[in-house]
Amino acid sequence: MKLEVIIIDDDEIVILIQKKMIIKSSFHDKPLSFLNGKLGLDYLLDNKDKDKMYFILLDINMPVMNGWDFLDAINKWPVANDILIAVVTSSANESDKQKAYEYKQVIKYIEKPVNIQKLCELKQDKALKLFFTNEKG
Amino acid sequence: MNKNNPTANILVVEDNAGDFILVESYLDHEVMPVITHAKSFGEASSILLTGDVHFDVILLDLTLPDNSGEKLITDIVSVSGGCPVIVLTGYTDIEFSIKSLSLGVADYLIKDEISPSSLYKSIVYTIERKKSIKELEESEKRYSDLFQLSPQPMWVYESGTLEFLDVNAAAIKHYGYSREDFLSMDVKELIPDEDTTEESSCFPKEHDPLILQVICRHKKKNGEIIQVELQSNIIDFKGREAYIALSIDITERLNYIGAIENQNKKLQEIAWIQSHVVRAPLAKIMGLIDLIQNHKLSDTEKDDYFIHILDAANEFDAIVKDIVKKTELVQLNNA
Repeated sequence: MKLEVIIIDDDEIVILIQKKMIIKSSFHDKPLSFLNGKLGLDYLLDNKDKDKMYFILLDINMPVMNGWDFLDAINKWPVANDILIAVVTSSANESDKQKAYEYKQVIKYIEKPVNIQKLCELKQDKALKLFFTNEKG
Repeated sequence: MNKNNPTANILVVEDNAGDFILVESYLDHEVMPVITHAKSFGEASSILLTGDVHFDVILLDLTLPDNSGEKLITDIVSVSGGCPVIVLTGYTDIEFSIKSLSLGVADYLIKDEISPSSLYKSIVYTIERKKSIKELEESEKRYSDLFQLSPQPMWVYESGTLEFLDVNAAAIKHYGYSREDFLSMDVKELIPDEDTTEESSCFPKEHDPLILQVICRHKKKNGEIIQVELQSNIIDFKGREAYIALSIDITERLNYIGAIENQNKKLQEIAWIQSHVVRAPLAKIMGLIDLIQNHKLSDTEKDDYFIHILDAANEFDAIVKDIVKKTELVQLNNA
């Protein structure tokens, strides 16, 4: 099974930073990115590779389709089974955090900015661990 | 007046010496009264009008040299200062005896039928009755004062017709209608025309003994609409089934609550903006600096990143200015 990393955020600079961090932390070498939830959903509806694990860094406040609507949509429409999500928000808010963990795909709630340390912690998550078994530590 | 406390003051108005002696001896049989004797209406009224002695009861002969009959009764009652009057007469006239009771006489005794014990009984009953009447009057006055002097508007309206039967001063002052206006209206007329479909919820159903508490709108005489909390309780008003209503104007209270809720909403909006929007460019700056500092970048990449940092800083600046503006608006609206 292969890992595919997707960034969904409406800010190009945020995407730039997250892409760099993902590559530098050897999390993934070719992360994809979409500027809102709708574009990300379209991609997932067209790509249901059974041999892939889709890992998504999802922003909450976005135009067109925000993070919450995206989470609702992937639980309603036929998309791939293997989807994991880290909700990435500019401000950690306890009620948002609780709401996020109510979705079965959400494994982490992260406050921006995404950095190497936060990504390395994610690698240790039990759902993602198997993709990084060849690495040391 | 009883045997433990035999100090009843009795005024005996009697011109016939023999009758007076008889009455006096009867009274001495049962009690030890202080008896004052008046031989004419003139004498009796001057004793009563000086007010030096407080009498517990007046025994009145109906035929005096200077006054008699119905006129004597009316005249004595008018100077008695509330002291109960027992009529003693030689004539048996049932109709007149009944009439005399309505004129304010406490009891009507026939001289030939009096015995020491019947006289004693009549006097004791009269004095005790007077006490309870006085207590009743005081209690009625207390309740009337509670109603009339209440700082909150109150009124009484008839069950069924919903017509006003009584209103207090606060209701007249607050609603602007005069007492006469109120007494020619029914309580439905206080409800603004546009609310008449809901008016039935504002009053208790006929004969409903439950206390009804509702919030509804009322229209003052000057057309001003107020929000009131109405409480209606069933009472007996001069023999009619009625409701007594207390009206508390909560218009201002509701306005305050509205203003506070409005302000809370604005403050929540500001708090949300601060946590989410303010931190967004800040997080970008932090991320970009992290990249420049900890990762090898080409010079062109670095230059690009500095421009991104400046853009994010400008974005941050605009958001802070916007918050200041919104906060000022909240303050202005409360000024």
